[in-house]
Amino acid sequence: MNCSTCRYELSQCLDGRLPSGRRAIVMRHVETCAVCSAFWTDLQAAQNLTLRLAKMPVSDGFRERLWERIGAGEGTPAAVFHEPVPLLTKFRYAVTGAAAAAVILLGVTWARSDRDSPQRDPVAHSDRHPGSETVERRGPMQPTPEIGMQDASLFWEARPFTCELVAVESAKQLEQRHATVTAGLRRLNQDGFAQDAARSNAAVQQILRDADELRVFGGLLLDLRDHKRLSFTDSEVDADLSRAVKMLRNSEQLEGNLETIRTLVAPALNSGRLANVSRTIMLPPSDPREDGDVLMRLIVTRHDVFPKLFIVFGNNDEAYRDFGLTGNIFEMRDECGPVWVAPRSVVEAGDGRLRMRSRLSGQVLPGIQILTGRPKQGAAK
Amino acid sequence: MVSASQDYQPDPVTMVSYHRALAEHTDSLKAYATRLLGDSIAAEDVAQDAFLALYRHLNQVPTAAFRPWLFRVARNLCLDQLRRRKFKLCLFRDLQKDDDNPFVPADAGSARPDQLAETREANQAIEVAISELPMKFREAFLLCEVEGLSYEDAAAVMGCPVKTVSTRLFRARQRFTSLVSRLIKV
Repeated sequence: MNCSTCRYELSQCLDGRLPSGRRAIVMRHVETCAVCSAFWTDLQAAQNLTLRLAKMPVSDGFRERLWERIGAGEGTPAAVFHEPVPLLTKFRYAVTGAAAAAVILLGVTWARSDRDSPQRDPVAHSDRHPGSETVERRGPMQPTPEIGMQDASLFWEARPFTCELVAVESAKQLEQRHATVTAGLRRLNQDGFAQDAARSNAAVQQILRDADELRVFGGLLLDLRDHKRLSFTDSEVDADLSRAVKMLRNSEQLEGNLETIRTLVAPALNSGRLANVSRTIMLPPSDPREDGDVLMRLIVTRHDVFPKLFIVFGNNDEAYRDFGLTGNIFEMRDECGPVWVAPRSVVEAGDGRLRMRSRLSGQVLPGIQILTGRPKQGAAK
Repeated sequence: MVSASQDYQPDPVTMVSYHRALAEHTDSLKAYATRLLGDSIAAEDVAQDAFLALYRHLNQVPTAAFRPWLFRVARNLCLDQLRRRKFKLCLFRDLQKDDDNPFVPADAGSARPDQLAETREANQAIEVAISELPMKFREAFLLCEVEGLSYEDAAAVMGCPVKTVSTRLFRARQRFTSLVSRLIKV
């Protein structure tokens, strides 16, 4: 038995609260330990002193005054049931309150940043130059820059996905399809081309595919016009596009042959104005909320169009570019959060090779390497 | 003031117990309150308030629990007063008179004057030692050592586990013995 235990138990022994067996052990230790023996003597002496404490009798009129108060119907003092709150409890309340306040503050901050970010981005982006090292935090959904600021710069510079972007990209793709269809029709009309059945058939199928895609892009532009997210400065372009989309839709009902091309596709696309659609569209000022609603509706109703316009990276990995995409990564939001996309026209105009790499390991993930377009000569492999 | 149950009329048996409690515990309640508050007049008021509260709650408090109940109420009242008079006590400490606590020895009738003087001096030293104990230790010391409450009753009064009472009492005794060691040696 050590002395500190012995002293504690001596205190209990003084009040008769120690079992007899334990008491015997403690007393044996006291007999052998001078310090504990002295403490035991002091304890007993101190108890004797407290027994000698003076009495404190109440004053003579104590009872009379009490009965007077009882007789007067005086109630119980409120402080009788006023339990003091322990300091630890107060501290616990304070900590809990502070934690709750911090959580609320964080929640409010997060909600505000989440709501404000689409409005802030265009302004922030307009002053940003490609390659700038200035980084603006854009809310809690931003990927952490674990792989270095330069590599992650695409995401830090991601721009909002707007109706304007969709309209411009659709118009570009439409013009491109119009050019390929026109070139194909020109080849078909060349002397002797129709006699080569194989080449002729391949050209017909290519024209029909391009015409179908043109119809899809044209339909998207007309939908945006209907949603008042764009208008045409030249009403004749509007009329030509509407007519072309309508005729090409009808061509789907017919067989995909040369006759269909000559009777429907060629007349539908004979207007030269369709080659300059992008120059005639006028875009109203971007409203992130309206844009979001319209885009969400279009993504649902025209889900087949968007993959033709954009390369979607998803939201789990960080992409970095080897070439030519600075400022061309866009953040599209859906129910699952942000999705990073790049316009297909931009990718195809450049080397067209994008890589993805894991956010966690930083390793390039060859399995999801995206190859589109024609690689430039001398581009980094 | 809480005026609930003012119309309650205790039965004669309960009133006998109440009178007995009044006779047995009034002085000890005042002494306990005096040593917590350092003011005998306020302590007497506390004791009276405690008995008034007991009378109003006679139908709720079992006879056997009168004593710890009274001490619990007295403790609440004392802590409330201390809280409210915290700064006042500090400001007027120097103006307190020595005769606020008139000395009444336990066996005053048979003692010689020199013995009375010595006892008075010892009492003052003990009171000072008690008043120098930290509040938590002082409570445990007063309830168990001075008033003789059981650990369980003291735990009920202090609102803490019995083990805590035991530990606080041990610490209080350690400090008390060191504070009055001169008297013990004498």
